[in-house]
Amino acid sequence: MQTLSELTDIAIEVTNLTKTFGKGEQKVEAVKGISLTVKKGEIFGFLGPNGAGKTTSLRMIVGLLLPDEGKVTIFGMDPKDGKNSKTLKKLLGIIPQEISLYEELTVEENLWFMANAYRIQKESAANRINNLITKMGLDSKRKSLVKNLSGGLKRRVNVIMGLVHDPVLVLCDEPTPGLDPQSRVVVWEFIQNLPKEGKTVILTTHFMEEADRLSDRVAIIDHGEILVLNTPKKLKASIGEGDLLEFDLADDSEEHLQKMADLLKGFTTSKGLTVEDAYISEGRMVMRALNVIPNLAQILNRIEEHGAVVDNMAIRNTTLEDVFINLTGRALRN
Amino acid sequence: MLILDIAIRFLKELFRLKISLVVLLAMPAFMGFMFAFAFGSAGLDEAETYTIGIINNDEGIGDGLAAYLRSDPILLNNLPFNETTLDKGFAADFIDILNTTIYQTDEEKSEKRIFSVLEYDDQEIGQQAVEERQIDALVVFPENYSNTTLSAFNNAFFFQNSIYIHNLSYLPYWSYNGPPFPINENSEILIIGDEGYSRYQIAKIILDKIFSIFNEQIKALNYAGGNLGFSLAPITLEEYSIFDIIFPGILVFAVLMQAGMMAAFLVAEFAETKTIARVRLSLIKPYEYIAGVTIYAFVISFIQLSILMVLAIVALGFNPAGNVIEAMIVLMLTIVFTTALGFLLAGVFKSSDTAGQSAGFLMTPLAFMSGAFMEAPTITILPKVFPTASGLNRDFVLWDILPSTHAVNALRSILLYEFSILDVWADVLFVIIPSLVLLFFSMIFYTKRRFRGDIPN
Ligand SMILES: Nc1ncnc2c1ncn2[C@@H]1O[C@H](COP(=O)(O)OP(=O)(O)O)[C@@H](O)[C@H]1O
Ligand SMILES: [Mg+2]
Repeated sequence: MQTLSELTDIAIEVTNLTKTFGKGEQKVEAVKGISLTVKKGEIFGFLGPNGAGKTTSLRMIVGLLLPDEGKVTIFGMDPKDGKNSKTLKKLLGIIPQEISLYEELTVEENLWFMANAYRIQKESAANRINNLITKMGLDSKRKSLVKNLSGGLKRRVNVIMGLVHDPVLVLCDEPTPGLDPQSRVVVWEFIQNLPKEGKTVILTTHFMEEADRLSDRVAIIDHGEILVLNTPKKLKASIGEGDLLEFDLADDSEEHLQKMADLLKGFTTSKGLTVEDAYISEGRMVMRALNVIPNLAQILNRIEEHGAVVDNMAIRNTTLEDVFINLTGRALRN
Repeated sequence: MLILDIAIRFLKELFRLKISLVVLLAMPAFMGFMFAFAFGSAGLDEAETYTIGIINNDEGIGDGLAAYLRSDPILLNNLPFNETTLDKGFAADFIDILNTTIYQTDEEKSEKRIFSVLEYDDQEIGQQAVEERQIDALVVFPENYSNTTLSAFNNAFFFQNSIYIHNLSYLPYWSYNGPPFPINENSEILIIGDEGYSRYQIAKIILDKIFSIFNEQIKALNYAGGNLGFSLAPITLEEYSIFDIIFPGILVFAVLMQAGMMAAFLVAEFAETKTIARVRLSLIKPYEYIAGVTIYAFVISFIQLSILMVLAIVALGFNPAGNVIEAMIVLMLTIVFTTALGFLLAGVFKSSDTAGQSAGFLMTPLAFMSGAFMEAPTITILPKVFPTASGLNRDFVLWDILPSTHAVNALRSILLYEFSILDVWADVLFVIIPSLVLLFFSMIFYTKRRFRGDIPN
């Protein structure tokens, strides 16, 4: 029998999810009524700065936190209904934000513990474990104690720990912070391939490149609210047309950069070009305008008149970071 | 099996953590040596006089034999007792010994008597006096005590000369022709008291010592004549270490301390490795997890207690009078209590360090309250209701609500006073039943705190 969700193609439906921590002075409204649907087989990205409420949302979806309000439906099932609990446990897999492994056990022992915890039959567990270890490039480390692994390798183990039972729905909370570039590529490829095995993925990150590269759709979340939700391409297009011009200034103090941005914002050249926007991003000053090149001399002139020394200058594409700044006036990193 | 997988996982983690392993192995050794040093060399430093009640049921030496010995001075002069013994029996001799034994001190010859003796006619009244702590112990001489003593002479004589006294004959000038001397007669002197009462414990040790000296002297029988008992030297205090009395308490203390280690491991999963989220999301049920942890606690405690027991016997001079295996059974039951405490602590504390340290702070007073090291102040709740190993009824005191109190009592009775685990049934029940009840509630508490609701970051 097909369930309704199999017909409708919806993996997760979240409505008005709300969570507040603490009371009085210490009250934190971590998640303020978010609603969204995740489609089967997609990678759904949650992009937002630290403290935006990504982990809290994810934990409410898997049931590690009880929502104050709101409703979660997973493949048409209500997680609050006890009779769904076993089915849902088998369907869900988490990759927690913090490395959570048994340090005194080997890589293999950690994975076997999870296989046992999900009562997976020995043979298929062995296959699955070998498969995951190979995909993560951990073959030579399978007998190493986790405590002796580097941070990057621990992260790789952390990623596959929650996948031993072959869950259909993978909730992945910031899989790559502090990772070396090599491990990052391994983890990214791994996540990117999950939909090919028929899995649905929710990925949270504060790392715009990660969200952009991996996600089919991205929800940008800030202060517990979803600001926008769309494909990365449409999100980037949404902030307006034109080129982004990025300046490296000799004086990269925030004050100076802001002063220069203010000078440029709304500035109109003699050829009739108006600078649509100017702001700070990642220690650089960024401006956006249509058809920048013919007006470049005047723009440079404008800031150099006010003491700017330009070390370097480049035209680049719009990123999700620009989208976030456009929405909030702040950078993701802060 | 999932429960075993969980237990094995915990054991693996522990055995790979070198520090835990050192703690696991070194802690019993350290505790054993520390207590042996603290209490072992100290001995009984206060020359207390212990009040003991006596029930003398001794029927004396049979009339026929007594009459014959009176009529045969040659034989009587060669036996280590005299006509008074023939009149009153050996128990009376022994009571004289108890009345006159004094403490030996280094500096000067002490005049302090070890025992003050009260004789009772009725055993009921004597037992009542023990229950009311008017006397520290009640010594009951059996009806055939004199015959048993004679039999001991006779058997010792046979052992040396391959002939019983009553078969001696064909000597040039003498042969025995009286009624037969008793052979292979057995009896037991009962020492009744509250095994949990410190004055009883010490009086009992000294009494045992005097009985054993007496029995040795019978075996080394000479023909000097006179009264056997008078050769008993004053007792030196240093001979009596109270390490033996303390040791059952140390065992219970070791079991209680296990709660800290267990709580620390449980909290680590929650607070440090954060793997509790994985456990919760898996198919592991709370009861399976708890059962796994309980098995782990039993294995660790068993190892630790075995080390402590072997060490005490081999290196610290502990001399168990009773059945060590039965003592281990009582200890294993006590671990149920520890496990319950471990789950309570693990449900409360948020870091494994504080859980471990707090357990240390809590378990030491708990051990004191349980009378593990010295007698806890008596706060009576119900007078004379609780059956002791020797069949008396003692007061049910405040500390009796703690399973560990009964564990200490049961262990003392088994290890020091040779009772069987069945004799201390009441203590055993009071170890296991409240522990199971507490375990039940602490599991619910732990499940509520760690398996349900929010997991904080
Ligand atoms: N258990 C908690 N108790 C109190 N405050 C919390 C708790 N968990 C999260 N918060 C707060 O809720 C907000 C959202 O946190 P989180 O969901 O972890 O954000 P993100 O994962 O996006 O970085 C933060 O301000 C954080 O400090
Ligand atoms: Mg987070």
